[in-house]
Amino acid sequence: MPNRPITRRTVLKGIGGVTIGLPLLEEMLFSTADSATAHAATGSDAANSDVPVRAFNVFFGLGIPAPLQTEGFAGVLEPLKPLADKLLILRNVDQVRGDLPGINAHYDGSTAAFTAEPPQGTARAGGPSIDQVVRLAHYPRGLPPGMVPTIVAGTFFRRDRVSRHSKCFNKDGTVAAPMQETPRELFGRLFGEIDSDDDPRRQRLRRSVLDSVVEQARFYTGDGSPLGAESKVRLADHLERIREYEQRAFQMDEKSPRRRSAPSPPPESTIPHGGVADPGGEGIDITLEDLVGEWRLLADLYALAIQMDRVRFGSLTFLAAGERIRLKGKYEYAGRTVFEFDDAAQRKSGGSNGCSHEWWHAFNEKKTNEQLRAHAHLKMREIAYFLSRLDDANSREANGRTILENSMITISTESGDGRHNDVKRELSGVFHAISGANGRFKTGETLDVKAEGIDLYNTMLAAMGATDRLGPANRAGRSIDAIRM
Amino acid sequence: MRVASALLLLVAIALVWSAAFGQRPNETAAKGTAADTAAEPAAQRDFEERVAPVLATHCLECHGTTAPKAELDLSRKRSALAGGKNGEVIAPGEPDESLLWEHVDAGRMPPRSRPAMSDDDKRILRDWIAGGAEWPEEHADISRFVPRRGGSNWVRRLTVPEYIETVRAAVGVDVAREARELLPREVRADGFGNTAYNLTVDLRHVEAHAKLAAIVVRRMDTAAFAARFAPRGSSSDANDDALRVIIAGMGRRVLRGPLEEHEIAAYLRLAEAVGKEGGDGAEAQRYVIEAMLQSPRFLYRIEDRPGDHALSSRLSYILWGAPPDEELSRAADAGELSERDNVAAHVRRMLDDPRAVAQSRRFVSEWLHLDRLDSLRPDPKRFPKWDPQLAGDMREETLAYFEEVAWNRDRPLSELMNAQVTFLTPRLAEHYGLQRAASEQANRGGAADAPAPRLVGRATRDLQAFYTFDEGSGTTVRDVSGAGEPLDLTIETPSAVEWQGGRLKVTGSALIATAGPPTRLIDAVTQSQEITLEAWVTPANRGQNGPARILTLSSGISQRNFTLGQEANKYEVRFRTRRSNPNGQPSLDGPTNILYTRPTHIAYTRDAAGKALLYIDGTEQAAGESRGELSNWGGDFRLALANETSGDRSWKGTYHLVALYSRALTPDEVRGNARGPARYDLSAVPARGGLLTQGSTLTIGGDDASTVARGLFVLHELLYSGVDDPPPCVDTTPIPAKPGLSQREIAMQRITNQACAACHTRFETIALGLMKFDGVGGHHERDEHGNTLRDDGEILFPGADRATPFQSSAELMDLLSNSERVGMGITRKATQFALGRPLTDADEPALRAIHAAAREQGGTYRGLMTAIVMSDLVRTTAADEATANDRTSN
Repeated sequence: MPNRPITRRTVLKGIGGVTIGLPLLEEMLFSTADSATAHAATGSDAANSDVPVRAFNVFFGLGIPAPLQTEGFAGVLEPLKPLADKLLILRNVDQVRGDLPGINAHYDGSTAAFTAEPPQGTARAGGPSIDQVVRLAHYPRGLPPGMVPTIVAGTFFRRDRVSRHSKCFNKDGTVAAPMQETPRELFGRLFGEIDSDDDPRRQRLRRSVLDSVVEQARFYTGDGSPLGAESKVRLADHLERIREYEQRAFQMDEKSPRRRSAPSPPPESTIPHGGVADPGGEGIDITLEDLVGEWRLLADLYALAIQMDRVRFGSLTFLAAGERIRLKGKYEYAGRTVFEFDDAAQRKSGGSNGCSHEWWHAFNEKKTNEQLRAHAHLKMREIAYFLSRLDDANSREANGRTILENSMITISTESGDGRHNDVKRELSGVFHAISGANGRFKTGETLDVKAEGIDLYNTMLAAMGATDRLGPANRAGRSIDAIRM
Repeated sequence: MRVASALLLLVAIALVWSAAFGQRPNETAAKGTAADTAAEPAAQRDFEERVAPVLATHCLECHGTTAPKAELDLSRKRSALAGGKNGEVIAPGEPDESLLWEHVDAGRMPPRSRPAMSDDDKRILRDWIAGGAEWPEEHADISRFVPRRGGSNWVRRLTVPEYIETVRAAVGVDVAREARELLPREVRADGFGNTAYNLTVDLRHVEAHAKLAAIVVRRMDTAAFAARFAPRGSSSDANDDALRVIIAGMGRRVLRGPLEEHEIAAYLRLAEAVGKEGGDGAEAQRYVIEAMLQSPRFLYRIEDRPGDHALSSRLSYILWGAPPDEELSRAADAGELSERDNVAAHVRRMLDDPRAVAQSRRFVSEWLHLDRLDSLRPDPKRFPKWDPQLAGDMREETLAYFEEVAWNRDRPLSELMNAQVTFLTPRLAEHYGLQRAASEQANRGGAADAPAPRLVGRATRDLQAFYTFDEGSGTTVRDVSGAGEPLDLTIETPSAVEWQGGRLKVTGSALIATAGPPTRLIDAVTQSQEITLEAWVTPANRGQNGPARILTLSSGISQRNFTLGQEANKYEVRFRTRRSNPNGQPSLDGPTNILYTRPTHIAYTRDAAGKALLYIDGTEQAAGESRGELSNWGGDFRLALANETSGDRSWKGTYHLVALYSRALTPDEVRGNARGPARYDLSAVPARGGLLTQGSTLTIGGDDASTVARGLFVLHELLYSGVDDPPPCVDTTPIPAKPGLSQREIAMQRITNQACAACHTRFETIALGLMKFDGVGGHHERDEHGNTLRDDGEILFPGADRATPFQSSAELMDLLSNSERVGMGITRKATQFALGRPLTDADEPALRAIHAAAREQGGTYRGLMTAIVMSDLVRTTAADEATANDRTSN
């Protein structure tokens, strides 16, 4: 495949010949278990536990039609089979409450993933995502120093609405963190070094400047602030970012006298990003090699950040809701050729009509759906790639389990059944899979849940020790006990 | 509820009190509101706690500041006591003689359609009038007690454009390039990039703010800046007292309002830290400014406290996208903005400022999502002639068109739908298949008696010769620069050219030249030692050489002052100096891979230092040195197009525009000229005219010119309506057209399908009027399969009981222009952009008032913006103020 996995070892040696002189070399010398335990001791989370509480949302676009989910690992879910013991596959999860009249279900259905609510705006969910509820429950005063509170990353192209791709939301439904959509951006956000001044005097004075900024931000977020609650949340968020900046710009120097030269980030991305990645909804041409190459680098960096305990909450997206690409390339899996992608030629069209998206529109249970199957299989392979990175030797923690086993990792998507205008068909049967969350959930099974997403999520939140629940306060919920140990 | 309201009121009073007397709000809160309010006159407290909320809750919706019913404005003391068109309504001390009480007591007010007034509230009102209707002068404006509306006004981080303008206004530094490079781009939310809820902050923002602050301070003359605020006689190494004054003054300027004591103290501590490091007062001032530029007060619009400063901030950011200027700040300091007339006068003044035009362009860009054009990538197989430059031309077309309607003509915004004019580059004109009408009046290059400019956004200073090819016939190409004696050109070979609307096509060996030497031009250039040669041309082929002369000032094949020519598949410029040979060599050659047989903008600049640049389509493509002064320029050469003056280096192609300047234009000016469109009269082109006939909106339908996407765009963006999801049984896969099956027929299948008709008749029938426009804005009578195209259809305005038919796109545009619904749609979009938040149901009364007030002022952009900023939504709605609960729960 296009790239080798990135591990701490390879990062220390350099990615693809590019030297990565991380500012966190010392951190990288710790084992994940040591690091996790150290942080657990300083944080307010699961103090009696030997591993930290973590929650991540993993999203893929366009979904898996419900009939194909019934085929189990013999069908498009085949790539998940090596991880079957670490996952609980959930079928028949109903997200119909996420439907918003007048909007196709790519968008509202995808916003319901991890929130179980319809959107409040094109960049705003109907409520918090489950990872953020867990974060606030376990770290009400913020993550331990040195951590990035939430990381949102993804390889995707369609971007006309934020919630097509960003999958972490605050309590008020606003995005919990901005999207990092290239490996370089993600690297910078996770490990990036703030330009420091060579002149120690100037460096000290810069710090004094920042102290005055912090003081003013604290005034606006403190008890005497003239601001209302919502505004204070904004300023508090800003203050948190300032403190992160402060730590990277100044404290690192003090703690790391052996600090090396500035880090060299991964190479610039060569695939489209920004507006050119979504040319008027018409889709783009991309090769399988380019797509997978960038995604895997991103996934490796994200996994590395988790292993280094740099991040405990966030989301990762592989292709957006309603994604539009015209994929080309030979798709191989387990030594066999699964399919030869060439969407535009096979659909005999360019533009939007030539995109793989249309295979979902054309889904017909009575037909082979060969192209859709291949695309869905590919998505499962890439999701499995990321998950397996959290299940390797570098991810083994103090309790003997891997990060995949210890974390609450929720995999979900948008539509299910192809007819995007058919809410009932599309949002009944949305694919879900979850990891064990350190023994809180069953794994190694496939459950026919037959329940609303909101009940599933609230059950998960209860199991994670969060007291907040999604949805209306007066709603009579239903606990899905079958998922719990 | 009553308790909560009272608490809110107490806090509001505390804030007003602290603002009035310079006390910190947290100190006020800490001491408790009871002690503070005890010091207030009882009548004042009674009015604010009891009376004002009743008036605000039950009366101001109709009798507020904007278009008050019966001309009765109960939002302020003066207007309330003055009464309305039925005379005075409040007789102090005599409730039974007061029309206000009479209506309330009789149950006529509030009207039945509104929540009834409780007996308690009625008693409060009657007792207040009976007690003399005391209305404390200090709090003349009661409308701030209007209950919180659905859309909250949070603190708002400055957007990138606001940040740039705020830095410029605060300290006079242009940091636009660096800010756009360092700050993350704003992400659209609910149709606009300034939606407050999505203006989050990431680490990159904090890092960028720090870097930008350092850049700004480096570029400032900080000593001069600080000196403006220094006490008389103090030096740069000021003592603490003087420094305090300087900091207070700089803070008022940079942070857009007076500093509080704790803020001054923080900056003094910073200055002290600089002193401990051995720095002097000047250095301390630099660091203080750097800190101010990163402070939340600078980076956010914090309009939390009712009063003039909050209002001045709202006014300026809404109208200008920039902070208050000194005049507005002075008015805020003096408390003059509590008077409606004063506010109105400032609004008039501010709308005359160029910043208002710039802000209106931002609004249009956001409303119509013009940034989307930057990433248009039509299928090259379907649109092989598509040129990416066209996307930028389309953006400029729409912006120039908006400026024409909204500013140059000051016309009602409804004319955005059907004004018979547009603005095109030669490239876009060719793409549309349009020629300029001969009746178009040429621009006179900025001369005092010039008509409304036909050419938009062009540099005019030091223009020496300007040819726009608008003559349409004859053998003279007129110089319309207005720079002096015209340097007209004579077509010496009429049979070798063809006049076309706004262009001259050279089909054979031609010569188009001045009769004699252009002495005025030669003198100006040799004096300045600078020049710009500019041409919009379409080469006939990629093989002509010599170089083939596009524009030359020369005498034969080896003597020249300059020549812009084509050498096969590249452009070439020869320019004579004392260091070149008489033939102007060595030449500056453009790259070989970017010479196309489509309209192309070429510019060559040479500055006095000898730096020569060649731009193609506004982008620098070659750079070289052209050292040496110009004293050897030939004084008897003729200026010529299309050939060497000796007739042996002919060039074939089309001229759209030629200009010569006696200075080197800046890169920004070259880009502006390359993008600057020309005005096209469309009175003879009924198919076009109006926003919906421009490429910027027509491309919304994608390559297939989707009638669904276009129709929904009109429904959502203009008619503020929507439709439900398609029914479950319907396959929404787009059906391609083919011979014998046009997109119209496919659309009609949906429109006539019983399952689809209920919705599709609400939007897709509208888009039938655009069916002659393809996916990239071209206009055709037949589609690519040979099917005949039609543009008749019908429009069902939301709320109407029947559809209105139209026979053509022109009729559709007229219907939209005349539609009250469309007018309100524009009002809503402008209001949303102004407020920076999605509108809610609670905004409806205010929106209606705004729209009515705008119509009374002619429905123009000026009228609309005036109505918005004079409305309660802007003038009086409280920000997201702290409640007592907020304070204690943190």
